[in-house]
Amino acid sequence: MPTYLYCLLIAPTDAAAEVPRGLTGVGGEDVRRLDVDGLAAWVGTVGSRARSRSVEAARGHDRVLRAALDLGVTPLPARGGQVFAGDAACLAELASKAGALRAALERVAGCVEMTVHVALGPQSVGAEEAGGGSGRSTITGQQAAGEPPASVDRSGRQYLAKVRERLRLERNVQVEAASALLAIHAGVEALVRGESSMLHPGPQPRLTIAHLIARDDPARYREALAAVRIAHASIVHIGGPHPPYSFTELADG
Amino acid sequence: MARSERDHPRAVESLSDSESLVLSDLLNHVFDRGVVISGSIVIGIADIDLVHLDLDLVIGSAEATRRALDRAQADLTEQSPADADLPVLPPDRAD
Repeated sequence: MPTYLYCLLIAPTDAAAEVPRGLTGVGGEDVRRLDVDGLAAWVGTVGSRARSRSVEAARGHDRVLRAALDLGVTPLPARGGQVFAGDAACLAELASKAGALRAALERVAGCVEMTVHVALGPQSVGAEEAGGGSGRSTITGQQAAGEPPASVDRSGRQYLAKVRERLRLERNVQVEAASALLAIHAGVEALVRGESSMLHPGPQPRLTIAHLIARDDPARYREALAAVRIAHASIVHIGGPHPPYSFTELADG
Repeated sequence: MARSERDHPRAVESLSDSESLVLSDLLNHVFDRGVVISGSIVIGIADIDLVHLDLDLVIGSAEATRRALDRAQADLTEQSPADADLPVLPPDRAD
């Protein structure tokens, strides 16, 4: 039967690595523990239905991770949907990466992840709409005033102007995102042990920043963020504490 | 100078739907993060377009970003180098 992997813990020192009684996984199966090379893997035996990516599967996966976090230990999250042919195959893969996995577990030990969502400036909203291929000529007032008749330059100059404006506005979004990242970093720097960020350049550009902080620090982290002021952007949501999903990179080898 | 939410209510109104952001966070965390051991990760996604599950652009750590921002700001203050990668428009026609 397929084995679904949820997370890893350090077996010898995490006395609380025992799976709570009654904890169920993505397919409603009991979550159980496998031990290999000093690692404790939380796994479940699943059918094919549990393999699909869905909101319910994500919630089931996250529920198991949070159960581990609630025990007072920090799990190393596995990517959702990872299924092995059986326990033996799962153990073999884990054994082949045991050193890197232990190092990754040590990096996140005692920590949780917080996420910050930042809405970037409104000028980029119009930009994306203009560059989104809708065909509407809504790029800039300057172009509207000086542009030649659409019938003449529709596929030439007008196209290049549109590309040019889109590139300019994309650059503006990146600069705004970088400014926001730096302002937030400066505000919480003393609490942060790791950081990663993503720019979502869609119609409503936003920046998502993940911070790795000590388990005891979420309240102080939120207080510190409340004092942060960002030009041309606003913090719209602070999430967490989460299991350290964004800090699971394995060292080479 | 800080910009309040009133200055760009449209973006904030949409993004401040915390339920949507929590769900977006959850899906991004579970399916786009986490350590990959091996095994098989099924690609099929059901109804995922209800929320953002973006292939995002990583803009890096604060230290790397500080250097990139310095370069970008230098570009913006020196117009010609900044425009070097933008399309050159032909002159307006005098029709």
